[in-house]
Amino acid sequence: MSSAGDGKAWRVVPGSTFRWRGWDDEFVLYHDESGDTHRFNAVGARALEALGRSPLPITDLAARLAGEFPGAVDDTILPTIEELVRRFHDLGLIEPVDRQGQPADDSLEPDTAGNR
Amino acid sequence: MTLSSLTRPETAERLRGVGVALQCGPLVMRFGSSLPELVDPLAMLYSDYPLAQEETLHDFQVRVDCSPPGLGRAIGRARAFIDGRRAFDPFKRRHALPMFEWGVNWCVFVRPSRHLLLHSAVVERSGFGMLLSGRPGAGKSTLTAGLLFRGWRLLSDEVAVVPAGTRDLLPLPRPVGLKGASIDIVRGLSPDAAVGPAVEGTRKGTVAHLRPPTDSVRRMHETATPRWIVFPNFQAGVTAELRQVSRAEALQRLGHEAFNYSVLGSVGFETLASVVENCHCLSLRFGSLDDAIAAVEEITNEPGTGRPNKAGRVSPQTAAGEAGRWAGRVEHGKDSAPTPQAARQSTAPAASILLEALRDPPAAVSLSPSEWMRLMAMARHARLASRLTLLLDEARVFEKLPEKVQEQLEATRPVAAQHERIIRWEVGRIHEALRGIDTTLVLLKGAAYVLAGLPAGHGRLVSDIDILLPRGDLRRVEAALLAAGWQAVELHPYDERHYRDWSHELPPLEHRRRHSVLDVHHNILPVSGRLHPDAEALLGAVVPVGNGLWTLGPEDMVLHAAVHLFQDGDLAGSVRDLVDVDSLLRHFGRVEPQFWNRLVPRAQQLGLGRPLYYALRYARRMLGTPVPSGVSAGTDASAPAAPVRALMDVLVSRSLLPVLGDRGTFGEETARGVLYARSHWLRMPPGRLVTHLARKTARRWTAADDEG
Repeated sequence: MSSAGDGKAWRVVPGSTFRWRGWDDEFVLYHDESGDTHRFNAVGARALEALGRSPLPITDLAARLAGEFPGAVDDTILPTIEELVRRFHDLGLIEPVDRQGQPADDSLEPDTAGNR
Repeated sequence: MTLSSLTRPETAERLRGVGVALQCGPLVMRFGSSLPELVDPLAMLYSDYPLAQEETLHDFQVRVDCSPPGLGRAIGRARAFIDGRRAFDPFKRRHALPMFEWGVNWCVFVRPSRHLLLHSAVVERSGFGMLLSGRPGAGKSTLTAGLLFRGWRLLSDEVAVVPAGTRDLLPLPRPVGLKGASIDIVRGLSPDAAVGPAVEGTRKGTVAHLRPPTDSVRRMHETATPRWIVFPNFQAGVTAELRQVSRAEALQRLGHEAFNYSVLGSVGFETLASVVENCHCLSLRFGSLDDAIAAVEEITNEPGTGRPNKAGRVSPQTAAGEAGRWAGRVEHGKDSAPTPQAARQSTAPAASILLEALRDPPAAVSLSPSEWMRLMAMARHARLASRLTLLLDEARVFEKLPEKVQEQLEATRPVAAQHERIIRWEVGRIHEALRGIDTTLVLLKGAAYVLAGLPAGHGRLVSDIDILLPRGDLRRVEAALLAAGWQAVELHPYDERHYRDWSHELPPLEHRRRHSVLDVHHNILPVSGRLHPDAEALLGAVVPVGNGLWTLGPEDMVLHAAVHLFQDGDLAGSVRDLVDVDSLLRHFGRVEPQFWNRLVPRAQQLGLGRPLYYALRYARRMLGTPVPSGVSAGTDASAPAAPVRALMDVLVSRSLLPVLGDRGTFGEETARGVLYARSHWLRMPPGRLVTHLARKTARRWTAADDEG
């Protein structure tokens, strides 16, 4: 897994088709390609939406979310966003790209959180 | 005319014979049994159901008979058959009624359907429906039964049926299954409660069934609009409490427990979202039926809101944040019947009907209703229903088929389409995981057919993904896949070693989140086997399919299909693999100019002449594959001796198709046994085979001792 400082950016896997439904502060996403359904809170949904617009490094994504959800996120957001990106990636929703926007060598490290 | 219009002897006679065909909502169910003790309970539970014509096309057939015939009566054992195929392990005759009902449930749950099937009871009042969804023991059926005696109409006890693209609830009123203490509770609800016999000692304890109210059966074509989704949860001694559930959570829970949500793809999602969007979603914890009914009445007496007006009994439930997800696969309800085992079965007429339909699809138009039912049953068992649908399309005869057949075949389309989508996507994930590794990623079998856009990939159900790589790259590839979320399926250490030392592939890998299964090969036949095709030669002739992915060359793809069928397996019920061979031969023979000229020399180069000989021989004989005579003659040098050839003809003809009925004939069972032994003989040398079988047997005994 990349870390916040490795310069790697993340984007939604090209060609993905997402179908969203939102009720109150919760969102459900249907991913056409995998046939999977995911449930997100507003931060998760916004993060994925942002990565669908353009590739973003984790630090940029965290900064953007911190700006949009000032009450919901704080200084500890970076590890949270790293974990969020890891989960998105695990679910096959996003992929890493290099500085030139080309698919990056995905040097994932085994999960050490022990919760998968 | 309803079942109650038949006399008892008439009902018994029909059950023994062609079966009783009953209309239940959109379905025609055919029941049959030679057990006299089933006549009265079935006549009682289904007394109000309209009889369909005896010769009508049914959606499924469930039979329960003595097992074995004749002796079963004496020893008190019975078996269930679904569409002619044995289902479940044999069971005690006194369990025949619940096993029968579970057999019907199984058919409703897993049979491909154009409708979204949610695991939920449904009741209706004033045109509005309430879905009651809960895990076993949650009190769903008890609450459903209770509501039926408070003026609610039964739409279904087990499955909410929503036609795709709508938000209508279709009725499927069937007997309400009751367990344990709820049996007496429901019996006490009303003198009109018609509860069948309580059967003790089943896998769910004591069970009984409540006959659906006459009015519910009579109105089985009257739809309802979903208005409430309730997740009941019985807990002894608690006070009833309603809590609001977010729509997102309700969608997730219903989708997770649904029977075919995932196979319907985006249509399933849109349909479910539409249902949820228009419902009030609540969880209901309760300790008594009266409390639960009162709570439900409270909700529903206030149309337009899901909130009770007293005492703040609805409390918001915090959503789970960035939360759950479920894999794109069919989930069978945990409360459903046991999954029928893959059984050994046989019926020659059904087999010949399937082969004839594959050979000559237009001729299927003239089949009789009973022949169609046999064909459909066989096609489903052989996993060829989707393929048959496409062949009938291509022959431009689909519209001429009986309406019920069209319905059933139509239901296979989304299943096949979803398989294809998911295969493409999973291959993308594998490719991404290996992006940093300089290797040649070759897709095999179903994934190759799909990604290469071959006709063999259309309508083909793919259960796992197979890839081929240079053996020298295996270690790095395995490490990359493990890092990207795949993990080794847990195996006995001996099996693990067997895979790594003697097989042609790594132990299977399963993705820890997506649960997709990946087989990583370094050759197409085991290291320990009799034939040793040169993997480098295979890798040297691969063809690109875009995005850095490869498939075997056309000839090698055919040869792989041939060795998979005739060199690496026991052939039992493997007609689908022969259909792959047939499709590949027809396609490449048409589009690759030198294909036929290259096929035999390539087989000889790789030492695969014998499997090719068999593949061509049986594809031609059983499926009418057009093989140029010169090509057939070219494989004669690889033919076995005449007696072996004659024996293989007999064995293959008796084994390749799934069999219907209780078991195969003696000849069929013998043929399968011989081919099973042959498959092991081909996989390893005699000394290793003896050691292998000895270790396997010892493990089985040890396991049996441990269980004992």
